[in-house]
Amino acid sequence: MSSKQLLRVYTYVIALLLYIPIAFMVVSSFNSSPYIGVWEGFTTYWYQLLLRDSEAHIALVNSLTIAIVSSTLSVSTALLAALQVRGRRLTAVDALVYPPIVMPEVAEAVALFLAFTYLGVEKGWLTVMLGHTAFNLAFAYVTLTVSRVRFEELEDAARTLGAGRLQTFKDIILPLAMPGIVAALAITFLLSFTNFIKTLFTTGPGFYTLPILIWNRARRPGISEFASQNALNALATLVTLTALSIAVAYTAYMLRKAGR
Amino acid sequence: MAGVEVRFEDVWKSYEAVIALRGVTLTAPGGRITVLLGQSGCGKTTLLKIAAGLLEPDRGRVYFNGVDYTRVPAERRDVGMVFQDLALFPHMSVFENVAFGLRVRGVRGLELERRVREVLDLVGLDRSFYNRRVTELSGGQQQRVALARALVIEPKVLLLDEPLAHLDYKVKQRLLEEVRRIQRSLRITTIYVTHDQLEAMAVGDVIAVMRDGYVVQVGTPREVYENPRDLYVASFFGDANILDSRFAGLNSDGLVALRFEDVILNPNGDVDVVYEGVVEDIIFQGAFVSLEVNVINRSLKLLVPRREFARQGVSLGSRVRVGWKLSEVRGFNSGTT
Repeated sequence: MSSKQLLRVYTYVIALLLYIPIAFMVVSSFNSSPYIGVWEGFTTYWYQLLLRDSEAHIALVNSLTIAIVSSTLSVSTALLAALQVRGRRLTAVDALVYPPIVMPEVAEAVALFLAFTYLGVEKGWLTVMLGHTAFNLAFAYVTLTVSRVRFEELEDAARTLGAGRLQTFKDIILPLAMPGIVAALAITFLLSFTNFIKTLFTTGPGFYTLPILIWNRARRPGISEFASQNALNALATLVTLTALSIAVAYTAYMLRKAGR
Repeated sequence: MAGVEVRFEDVWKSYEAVIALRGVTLTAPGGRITVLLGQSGCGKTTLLKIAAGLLEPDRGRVYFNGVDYTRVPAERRDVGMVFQDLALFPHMSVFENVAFGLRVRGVRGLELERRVREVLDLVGLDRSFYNRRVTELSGGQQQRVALARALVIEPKVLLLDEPLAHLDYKVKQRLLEEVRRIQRSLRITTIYVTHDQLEAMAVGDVIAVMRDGYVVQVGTPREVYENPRDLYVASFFGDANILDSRFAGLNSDGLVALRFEDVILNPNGDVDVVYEGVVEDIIFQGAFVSLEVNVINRSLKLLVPRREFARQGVSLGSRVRVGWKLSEVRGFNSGTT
């Protein structure tokens, strides 16, 4: 076997390892048996069940609003920071922003939990959103600063041509930063939408997102029909599809940009 | 609008630990090209950015036709600037790049189109370029777009920061001529920054030689070349042998400069000083041939016209005489500055 073939097999093995559990989950969501591993025939029952699953609806709305607000807030804040921090040099801002990216998530979660408890903030929508935003900021900043160096001369050029700060921002910086902004929005939206650990530590009674709901049901599968294993598979499949479609939309956007 | 005089008065500027300008006083005469010439780090780009209003001096003033412009922001100065890396807007077409400064000024419709077309004609870009993306153009074409973009707003002053630095020789020669032609036809005050002495000579009405944050000499190319103020200018603007004064034939101590072409090969009379030496190196340069002659363990360089060189039949190792007139030897008061 040539090294090229070997490499090909290796790639397939990796792809299989990555996608077998997901494929299994998707297939199970169409299994009419409520139990995993016993195939009793094809059904869309679990998806119909989801339609009248009001808890799942609330969770979906919560997840979406948290993800939208947190990604918008973190990207706009990071954009302002990226525009202020000039030049090639690493600055204090960089030094402050990078660590959250490598910190273990559970440590961030505990830190947020302690901070909110210490401050006496009532935990719920706001604390979850703020917790997500605090760390999304780091990812947004890193994504946006990749291209900051080349903007300086363009800004200078626009100024000598008579454009004020606002017009320069609107006509020069924003259009050029747009791919970065879209990337940062996509990344932070997905980080937030799929987040579990930080949400678990910062949420309060009565507030839950989709990952929290799935977790709550998964540890007590017998509690209701909504919590049965294949109902969970259907729910998780929908979450996965949402995340995937955002990733696909992002890729399509970038390909279109690159193709122009 | 042509003919705005730009005057810098005792301009100082420092970046953190580095002092970029140490009290520059200089006048760029209206309607002429003033070249700021110096090595990188001499402060020439800083001075240009101060003229543009992109930097504020720590101390000192900048006047446009006698009006204090020191605190006028770049966007209200009406200067056209061509940046070292051109800074064309990569997301816009050629037409839109040039139109930007006009749109900012509220020019629209036919008037906008007419003025963009006129200036693109002036720099030699025809209609087929209008919708091209600037990233698809060659270096020379991008250069023309940058020049057009700066000129379209009919600026008071044109500022060029090493505009031809990245181009190859032929394109550079052609664009140098065009910059001169355009500048002459518009009579626009121009400040041109470069480190290249040939570019400076080709384009400058006035040359200001800069070093370590000072302007060390100002004059026409010919004045500066024939009467360099010190050894630095003598060897930076044009080439010169730096010799000790007594060897050169003067009755004093110190160092003097002697242009390569002022050393005469095998002179017949008509010189004041003559030495014998051995030819150590010959470099064919086209119109001229550069020779290196060893005279009493000193290496002396001379530049001989190609025909003259051929007539003399000199080769490597030949024994030759070299000589010069004392009037060509440039002495300086202090020696170094």
